[in-house]
Amino acid sequence: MDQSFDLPDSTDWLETPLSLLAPFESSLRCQVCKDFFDNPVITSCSHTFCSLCIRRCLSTEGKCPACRSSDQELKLRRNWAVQELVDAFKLARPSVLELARRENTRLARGEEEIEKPAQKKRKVNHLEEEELQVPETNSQGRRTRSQKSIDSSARERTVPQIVPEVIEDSQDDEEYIPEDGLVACPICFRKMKEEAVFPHLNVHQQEEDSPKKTPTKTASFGSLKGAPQKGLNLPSKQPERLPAINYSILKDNALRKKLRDLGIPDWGQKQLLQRRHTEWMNLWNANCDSKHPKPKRVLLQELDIWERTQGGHATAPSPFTTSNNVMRKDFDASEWSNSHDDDFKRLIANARKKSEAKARQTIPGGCPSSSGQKEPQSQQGAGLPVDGARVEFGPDTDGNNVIDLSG
Amino acid sequence: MASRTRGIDTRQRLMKELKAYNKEGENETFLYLRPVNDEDLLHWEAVLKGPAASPYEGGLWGLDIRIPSDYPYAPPTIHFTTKIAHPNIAWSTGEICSSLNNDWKPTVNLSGILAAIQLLLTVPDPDSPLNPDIAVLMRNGDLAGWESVVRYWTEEERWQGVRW
Repeated sequence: MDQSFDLPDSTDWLETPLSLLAPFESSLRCQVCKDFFDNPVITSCSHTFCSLCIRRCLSTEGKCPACRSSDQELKLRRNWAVQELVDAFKLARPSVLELARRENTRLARGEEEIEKPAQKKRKVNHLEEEELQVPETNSQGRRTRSQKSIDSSARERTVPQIVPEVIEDSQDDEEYIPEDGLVACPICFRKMKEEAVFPHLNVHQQEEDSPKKTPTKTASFGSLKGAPQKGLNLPSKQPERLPAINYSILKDNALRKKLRDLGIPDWGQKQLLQRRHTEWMNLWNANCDSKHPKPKRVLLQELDIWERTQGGHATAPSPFTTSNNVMRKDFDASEWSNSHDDDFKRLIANARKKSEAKARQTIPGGCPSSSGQKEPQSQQGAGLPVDGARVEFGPDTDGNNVIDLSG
Repeated sequence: MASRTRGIDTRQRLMKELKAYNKEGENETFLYLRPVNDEDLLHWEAVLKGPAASPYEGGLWGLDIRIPSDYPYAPPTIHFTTKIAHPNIAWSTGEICSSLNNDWKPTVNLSGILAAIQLLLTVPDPDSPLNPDIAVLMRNGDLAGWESVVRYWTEEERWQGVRW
């Protein structure tokens, strides 16, 4: 439902007067899945990814996908500041984008007036203000879960600060910069230097984790076995994390039993069992990083999708073939595939038109085939020659990120 | 938002990449980059441009790109469909030196890989050759000979086809 028809991504801003928001939005997106951060966590090397994305990377390779330094799942820490940034931006995005696009058509019609934009801005602010009331209370609620005591005065102090910070533009931003250069820890509100906040957050994380871990460590296998029988509804409190298994010391049947005990499919060869367990562990533990963990039922559906695309049911190499299987099932992924098949085809059509046009320019011989009648369309497909069209964003285009081939 | 199902990330990521390429203007790396047809999102093709200020300048080469179902956790397999004279690219099959895959990172885009391949053209490594004939010219220090061979084939085999 969050994925509307036009597959939102950071390039949406490029053809609006707000093209500078493209790199901004790009930085709120995970560089692995290119989607907005979903339960962001931070690695030892200080890179942030969706919890599920980085867990999958680490379980395949054991390396950070951004800098390739080694890391371990256990060292991942939730990055709630980023989660709140993303949540707030996602709320504001549709209205801001719509305004920007409307402004664009207005500019295109040549109605540029100096006063109009100013008026607009104020409208944006109102819109955001209304919508942002909602998450504000949410995030308060979420926060209280993770902390034992906030003195109410501290809370009152931060709330009015947060609201203007998000809503107003430049003037107030400047005002918000703390005079002493210190920022407050979102959990205990102690003031500290900005760069000290993340290391400091680990302290809270450890406080939170350690009482859980030590007593359950020995019992964790046993309690996990019990979990599926308790029924589908997980308790609303944080579900317990799954430990990694050393597959090499387990015989097929022992591993099979483990899968059965976890309540996931137990058929297939050992290698498939391993892969399925790893995926389940990643799904499960990523879900543990969520403020609102999904019920096990949903995770099982996700595992089912994995089974069709990459696991034991993945027969055809094409996601389109497999998506037909998906469509037979009744979860919302099917809707997604349905509605996006068209989208995808349209994207490919655009790509083709565009590259046709480019090829014609580059190759003097021109294009011999039957595409002559598509001429006017290909102009459209080439995109608008807007100012920001050349903005390069994301680490993909970054020199640092180009793979080193010299070896 | 809370109940978003994951697991079809490969499709979604590829579509986002495709959307970005559609919007991107002319660039120095490739002429185009797109899926081969409507049916298969895991099979792409591209036309690579020769890097400026190199004997490959002005060249165009077709690339075939096979994307694994667990992309981006695993790298795509790419080979040249246009012949190219390069020590690290096989002449007959178009296979590219495997260092490309060894350094794979899930944060790299398809366009990032094309940039990497383009870079490979400027920094050939004659010590682990897939094309010994070309590599031997470099290893013997016959850079002028190497350059003229490269220029000849770059011109001779230049990608022409508009295949749709």
